[in-house]
Amino acid sequence: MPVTKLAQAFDEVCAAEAKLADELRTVGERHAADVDVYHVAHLLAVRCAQQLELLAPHAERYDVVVGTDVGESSSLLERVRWAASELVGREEVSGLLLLSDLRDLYLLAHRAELAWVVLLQVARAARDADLVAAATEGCEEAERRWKWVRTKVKESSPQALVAGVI
Amino acid sequence: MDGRIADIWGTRTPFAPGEAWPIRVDTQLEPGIEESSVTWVKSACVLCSNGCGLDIAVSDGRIVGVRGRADDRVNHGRLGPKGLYGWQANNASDRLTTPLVRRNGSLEPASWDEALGLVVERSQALLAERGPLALGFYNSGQLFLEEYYTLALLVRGGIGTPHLDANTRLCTATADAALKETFGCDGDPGSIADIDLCDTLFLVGHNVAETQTVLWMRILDRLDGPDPPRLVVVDPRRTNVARRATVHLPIKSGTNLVLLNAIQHELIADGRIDQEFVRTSTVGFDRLRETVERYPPERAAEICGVPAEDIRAAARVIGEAERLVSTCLQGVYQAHQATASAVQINNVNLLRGMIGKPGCAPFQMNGQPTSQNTREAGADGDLGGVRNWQNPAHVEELARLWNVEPLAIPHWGPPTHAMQIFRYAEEGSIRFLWVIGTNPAVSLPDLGRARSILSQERLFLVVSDAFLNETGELADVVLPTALWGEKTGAFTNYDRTVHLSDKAVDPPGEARADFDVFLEYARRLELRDRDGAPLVKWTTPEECFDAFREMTRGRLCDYSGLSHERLRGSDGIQWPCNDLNPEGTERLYTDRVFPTSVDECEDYGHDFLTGAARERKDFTELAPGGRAILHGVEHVPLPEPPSGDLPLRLTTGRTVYHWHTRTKTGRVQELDAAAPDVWVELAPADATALGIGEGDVVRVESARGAIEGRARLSGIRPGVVFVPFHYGAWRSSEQDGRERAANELTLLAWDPVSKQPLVKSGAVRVAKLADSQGVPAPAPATTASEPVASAVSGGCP
Repeated sequence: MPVTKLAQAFDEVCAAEAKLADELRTVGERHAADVDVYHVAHLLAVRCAQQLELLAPHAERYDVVVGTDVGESSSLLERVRWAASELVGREEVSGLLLLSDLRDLYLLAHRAELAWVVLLQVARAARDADLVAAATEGCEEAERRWKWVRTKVKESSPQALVAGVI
Repeated sequence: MDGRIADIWGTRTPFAPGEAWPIRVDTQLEPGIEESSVTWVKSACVLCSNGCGLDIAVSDGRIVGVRGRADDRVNHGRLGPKGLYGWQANNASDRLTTPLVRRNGSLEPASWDEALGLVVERSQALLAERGPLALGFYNSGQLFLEEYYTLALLVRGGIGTPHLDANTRLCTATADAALKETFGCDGDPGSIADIDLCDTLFLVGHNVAETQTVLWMRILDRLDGPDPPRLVVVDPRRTNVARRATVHLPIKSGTNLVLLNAIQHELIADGRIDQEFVRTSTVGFDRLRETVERYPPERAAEICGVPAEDIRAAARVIGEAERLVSTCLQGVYQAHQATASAVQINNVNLLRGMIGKPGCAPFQMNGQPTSQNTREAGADGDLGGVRNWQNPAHVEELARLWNVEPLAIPHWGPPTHAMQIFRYAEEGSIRFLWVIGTNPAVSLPDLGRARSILSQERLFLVVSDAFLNETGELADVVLPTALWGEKTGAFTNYDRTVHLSDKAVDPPGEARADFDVFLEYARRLELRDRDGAPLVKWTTPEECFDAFREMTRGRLCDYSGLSHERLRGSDGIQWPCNDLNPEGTERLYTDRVFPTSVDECEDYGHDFLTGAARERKDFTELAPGGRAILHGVEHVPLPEPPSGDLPLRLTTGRTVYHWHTRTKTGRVQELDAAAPDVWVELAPADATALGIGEGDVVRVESARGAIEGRARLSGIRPGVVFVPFHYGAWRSSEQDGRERAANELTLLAWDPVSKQPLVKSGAVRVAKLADSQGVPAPAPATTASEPVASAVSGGCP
């Protein structure tokens, strides 16, 4: 089994999850005035780390070390973003800023999903039933995230782009 | 304290399963008034979701009392304390009798012409400058069906903004959501008569003894009769319901879902499920089983803080039931993972095949008396006639009925939920907000923030109410409105029973029915249909009801067989009432076919953790096609768990004597005296650790604010603090600088699916401020707030 090549599939999942978790935290804090964005984004970020933890024992079998340290925001950074959100949150432009951040988040969420799809395919080709199960779960979680972002984009874009001075 | 204030549920009339619930007629009249000297006007009670039939006593053009209707299917003559005494609010001396407008910073009397002129002028200016998305409307669960429908038409079909919601968002949004997620459509399947027939009642977060007193009378009469039902009760407080339980599970607040998963774990493990029903009439079982497999009672016991053997005992009682009624209310709806938990109640009855049969039903209970109608009329987060905003055919039907272009009706997303409306007002994209028959300045979570939104200079705030409440104080225009008994309209309770409430007296002064105010607003805005004719075609509530009836024809909530005249001659009729079911329909889904086909359903559903909306293609893939949907959902951590600094869990709630923010009940001497001020309920163990005794003045603090009140040492579970949410400061005696509104403390967060705020969530600390000096907490001793024996013997009252 060409383990070194296969390791790339794990690495890509780790990198995509870490990046997404980081961005979820940042966007959540930057839009803390939109409390649902804050709470759901943070929940999803925590779950990115959990996904990687579930993957780690499988990766080990291929001599791959999964970095599960997707990190928390530093408390100072979080406070700064919160404070900024409270100020910007009282301006109409906050809707546009949210929409812009959600667009970026959507792409990252899709990148992460594709990484899981690749891992799932690899698991199938490697006839690794346990990894297939783990990757299937990862794919489902990945789908949940972009669907949430899509829902938020659909809900928030009319108010951000149509309401206001005509 | 005497009469039915002390004796909340009245005399027992025990009965056996299957027997008719005996009649007991409850009457309350002003002293000196004889029954024979009054005129009786037919109505129903609007002080809880039970919707008890009653007659209003009228003498010399005044309401002088009420009498329960003996033949009414809901109450068989009975009334609860709020119903018996609450009508006196109509006669309160401080009713609003003229419009008020803000001049030089203060509210001053004005004519209707001036006040409505200002409202219309600002609406038109904003429509021209910023478009319809700059306008928002926040109504109530207290209006009549005809008022909701008129408002929904003028806002959605005329103005064209999606920003219309009701305070039902704080009360029954989760009931609505849970019914849609499981059955595809709003509408509780069961009948109130299922209480008469069941052998087991499973009540989750549902303090029925205080929230629906007449329903509790019915249950008490079963409990005191032959073959009483067994009760399984989930509630962190030692409620009157919990005291009658076979199994009481006082779980930590915020852990409903874990417990419900564990109970289903046991039902499946013990083979207590109806395999045939699950196979033929549901989808999603395998997923549900996989989920609940991860919640054995031992794990749940750890998270919920109750013994595993009690969870097993509860599951055994539910599993042994032959006729099971399961219910939930605010303990589920206002708590963490609200919709995910509420659908588990539906799951339990589906797993047991106990739905659509006598004595077998899940009830997603309602809170407010007319909240069902704001949902059906589309004056909240729904489209009228339980229509699906994602289904173009449904929108076209509505457009045809209203004679407007389909595109005129906002349906690019779900109707905007209340918390988002307030958020848009905060960021400044909504500049006009009309608050109708509710009091967000006391009832919204995180009040400091809510007040800052409502008091913005750039926001034009209109408030319609019968009294100058805390929200009215912040308004630019206040419109005086008629109360129940002063206008005619229909409404529907949680078991789909429709009543008509006739006008008994004129409103005071220049107060007007909301219905008439909406008509006048639509007329002045010159709202038109696509042929240029006036958009709103009706001028009376009866004409409006007829239009509403046509709007519901062929939908699950079919009113096509009803009319004002028919209702006037009835003792309550349950929808659907149509050509097929001319006498109404006692139970839905007796044929085990659910409205989950892709063309019929009211909603395609959501992801329970994030609220991500399923789209049509996702739902088609799920293919429930007439089967009910079982949902398995995992537990996720609380948004604000207790911590070292804020070690206690806050839960807010209600007492039997008050309604919402006391706007009416606080003006009724008997009810006010029974629960005159806020209190803070603590478990004796927590109180002792903090050096707090009964009646001591304490300060409760969260990350958002603080309140002060006297401590009541009650049977609540340790680690949880209860504060009633009714108390604001509209009386001059309450404007003493002491914060008493529970929502000063609450967390601003909401359920991802129903968008219902989690006002039973958040972390607090409690500290003693002053000694009681022998004065007990102003908390009722007749209810869940009863003091523990070791605290005081009396209490207030």
